[in-house]
Amino acid sequence: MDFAISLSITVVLGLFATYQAALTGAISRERGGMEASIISPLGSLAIIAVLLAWIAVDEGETKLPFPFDSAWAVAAAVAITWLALWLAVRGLPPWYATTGFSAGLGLALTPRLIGDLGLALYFSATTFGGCLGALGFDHTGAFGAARRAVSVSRVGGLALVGVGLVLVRAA
Amino acid sequence: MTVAPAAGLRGMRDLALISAGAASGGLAAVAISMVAAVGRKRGGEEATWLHLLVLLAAMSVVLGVAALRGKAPGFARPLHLGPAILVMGGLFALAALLSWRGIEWYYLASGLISTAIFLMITWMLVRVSLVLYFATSTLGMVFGSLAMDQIGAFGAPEHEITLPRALGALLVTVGVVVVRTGK
Repeated sequence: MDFAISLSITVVLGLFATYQAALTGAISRERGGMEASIISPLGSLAIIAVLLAWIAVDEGETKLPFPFDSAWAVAAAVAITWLALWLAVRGLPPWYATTGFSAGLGLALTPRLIGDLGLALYFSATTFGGCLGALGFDHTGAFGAARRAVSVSRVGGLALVGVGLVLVRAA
Repeated sequence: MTVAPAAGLRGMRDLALISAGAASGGLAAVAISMVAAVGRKRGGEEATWLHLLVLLAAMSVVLGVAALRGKAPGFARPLHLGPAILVMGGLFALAALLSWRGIEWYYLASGLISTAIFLMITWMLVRVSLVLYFATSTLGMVFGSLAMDQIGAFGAPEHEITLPRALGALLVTVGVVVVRTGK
């Protein structure tokens, strides 16, 4: 993958990590931290199951061992994971189920992104995206979080992360 | 006479919490390296599938055991019962064992490490401020990833630690603190 595209995707994934953190926080307040720690990866698993089904249909098989190399087994996995996710979020607003979706997609891209960027630049870029998202979410008070306006000092902090990112990349 | 020991204990406690935060960040770097390594062998989706199955199996066991000890899960029926959570965890574990064949056994640890990180976060966030948690975990994550890059962990390309790279990692950490604490 092209370096600039990989870097952009990683920053966007960091942005979505803020969405995940905010939603996981909201679930924690309603259900508890451990429960949120199940709902979030369950959402990721449900998305990955769909991607594996796509691969199985498109390429004829996945790279998993039997039985998960076949389309029928992956289709069953899709049904079971989405059923488990539905059971886990019952009683909560339905969009809370999306908390792990971006993390699932991000993890699936991780081997390609780390191959292009290296681990340190990957984490620096996700941190930059995460801070950018935190500024936006705090400014709007999304998902019941305390509202905090964007300020010069906080934008300065984001700039420091950006300079750090450049140094990790350039050196 | 009692002030100095009390301050010492507080210092030790703070040091332990800071170390725990940094450790959770460093462990995240290890877990992600492992997922990437499995992804290079199997594909990103397959690696993530295995990682999440192990993570969910382990989290279900923790929640199920807590339920059996009297702390009911905060889910709606039927997952409000400990045995139901354990059955769900058993299904994830079975799927993980079926998916794991053909790769080195230690790659299963990525999901267990992530479980430990989730538990550490839950434990830490009631003891320290969010800012301290973010600062220490970012510190651990960026410096842990620099170290993993240096040794080319799990077959990844090597990237040498240089002074500017270390300075960049430090700036990333300081920037996170300023974003979180800035007025």
